[in-house]
Amino acid sequence: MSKLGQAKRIIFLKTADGQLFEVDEPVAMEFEIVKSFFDENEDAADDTVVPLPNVSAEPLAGIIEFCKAHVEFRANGAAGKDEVKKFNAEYIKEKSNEQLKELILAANYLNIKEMLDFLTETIANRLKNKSVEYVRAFFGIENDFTPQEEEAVRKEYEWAFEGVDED
Amino acid sequence: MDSIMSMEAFVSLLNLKAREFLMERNADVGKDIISKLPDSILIHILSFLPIKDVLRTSVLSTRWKYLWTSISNIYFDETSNNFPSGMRASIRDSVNKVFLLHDPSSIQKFRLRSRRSVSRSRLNSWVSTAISHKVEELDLHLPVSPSFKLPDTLFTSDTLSILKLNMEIVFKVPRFTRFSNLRTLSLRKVKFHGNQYAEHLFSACLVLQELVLYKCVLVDTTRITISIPTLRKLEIRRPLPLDYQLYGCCVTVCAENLISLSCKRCAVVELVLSNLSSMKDAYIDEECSGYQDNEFTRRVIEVLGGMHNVQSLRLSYDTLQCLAREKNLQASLPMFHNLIHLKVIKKMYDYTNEEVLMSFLEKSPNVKTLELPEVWVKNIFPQCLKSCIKTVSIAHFEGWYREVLFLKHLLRNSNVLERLTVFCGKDLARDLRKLNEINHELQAIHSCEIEFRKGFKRD
Repeated sequence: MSKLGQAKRIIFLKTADGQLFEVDEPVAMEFEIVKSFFDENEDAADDTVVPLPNVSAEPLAGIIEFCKAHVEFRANGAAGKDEVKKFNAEYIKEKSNEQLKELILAANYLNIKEMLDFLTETIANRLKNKSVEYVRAFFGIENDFTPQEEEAVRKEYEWAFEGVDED
Repeated sequence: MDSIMSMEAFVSLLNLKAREFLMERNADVGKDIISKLPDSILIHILSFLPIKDVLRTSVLSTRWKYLWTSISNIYFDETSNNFPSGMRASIRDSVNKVFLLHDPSSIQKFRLRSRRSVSRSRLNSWVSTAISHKVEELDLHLPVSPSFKLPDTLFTSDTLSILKLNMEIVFKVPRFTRFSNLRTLSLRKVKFHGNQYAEHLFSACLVLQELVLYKCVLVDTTRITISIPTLRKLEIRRPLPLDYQLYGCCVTVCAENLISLSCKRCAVVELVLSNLSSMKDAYIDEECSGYQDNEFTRRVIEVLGGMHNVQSLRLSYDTLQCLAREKNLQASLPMFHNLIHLKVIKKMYDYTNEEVLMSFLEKSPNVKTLELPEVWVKNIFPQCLKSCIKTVSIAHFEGWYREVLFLKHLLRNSNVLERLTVFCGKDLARDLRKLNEINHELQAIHSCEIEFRKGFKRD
């Protein structure tokens, strides 16, 4: 809610693929990058469009959905309560690994702490007890060890490679 | 015919090309992801993983080889079942390495859980390292030799916010102890010799909000005072005076800002609740057994007396059973004028005394919400039911004749009831016809909202 009955301020964001988003100010200010944009350009006009050249429309829509819900939770004093957990679980359930990676990249670029915490934990949960090959595929990591080097590292923590999930 | 074949071949070739193209693209996306994410994010991900998963990432690529030396959380749970057996020595050497090679960045959490003890020097060096890396949460659960001494630096940590110890040590609290940031303290199976160490510890916790004492042993002492002005939540379970045949020990709680109190099996000591005027909710679960029953009952009534201000109370069947020994319960129970929410809890095989429950409800004239584990047998109904109870829930309901009968009596006697929630067993939940029938009969008596939910309610 804005003070003194002023109209709610809308922030305009433009994605790399040219889509224009209209976002309520408190939600857009969750993005550290947008916040510092306006801090640095204090005289920016209200209808200034903030360019986000490293984010495309799909992850941005997902991020706005998440931040909007969390801004509301905080306003209602529900932060940390069960309904937040429920929302988060529901939110992430349908997301594929690809979508998750797109989200974390975008959240990292926009610099949204709360969402980054949530996404890193989610990714960690998806990688728990998974094989090296699975994790490499997940992140798209190119193995740049020589076979001898890799063998030496494996040998060092031999026990850690036993009893992991089948891919 | 030929042309169709070649058409199919062409399509499959096209598909192959498309798939190759997509795979290349996917690989590109993957490569981009990992190169675009800064180390800090990757370390953040690692910090949510158990140590075994963390160490496995050192083989992913050269970039990952030493990322783990910056992890902020060290979770080492040897009791989890995915540790290979017979490799304990090398597992622990690896964990040792995590501490030895950790870069100067901070370690926020260190959790260690094991069924086997860790050598004294090693455990000490792990804890010391965690402390020097500004640890905020320390959680140790393992067997140790009784003479194990925690490092001195622990006792002056100004970053430590959560300390959980589940180990049978004699807890010696140095004189210089000062926890300026400790909010949560949980001590399990810790032994205190005399009252001075424990009392010194409590007074050195300048901002403590939550305290759990579980099976803590009191040796050579008959009195101990827990005086913590900042405390908001206290849980005491099974305190054990060493010579517990004597039941002679007295534990006094002074916590003027305490909001929530939970007592479980505390009657082995005399628990004195003094100045707990802020308390909002309480939980009590006591049982009477053995020859000291009357003394136990007196103690339970004393504790309830200290809880008389609460708005919300959870009470076990055992506690009610224990009160049944008191001959003049009406006179000795306090009035619960502020009590709005009463929940009665049943464990597996315990049973209750309905007269005691009635006496209890008679003493609670303003209860609005009543949660019961099951129906009661006798059709007696207290005054508060008639005049102020607005919601009732029954956690366990099978739809038997006497249960339905109880609900009917309940509805006839509840003038202001707005909502009745009944948690049904599987068979009843499936039997929609029967549910409808019961609902219909009940609704004919009272127009309040009646809801049948599937599955028993568990605590």
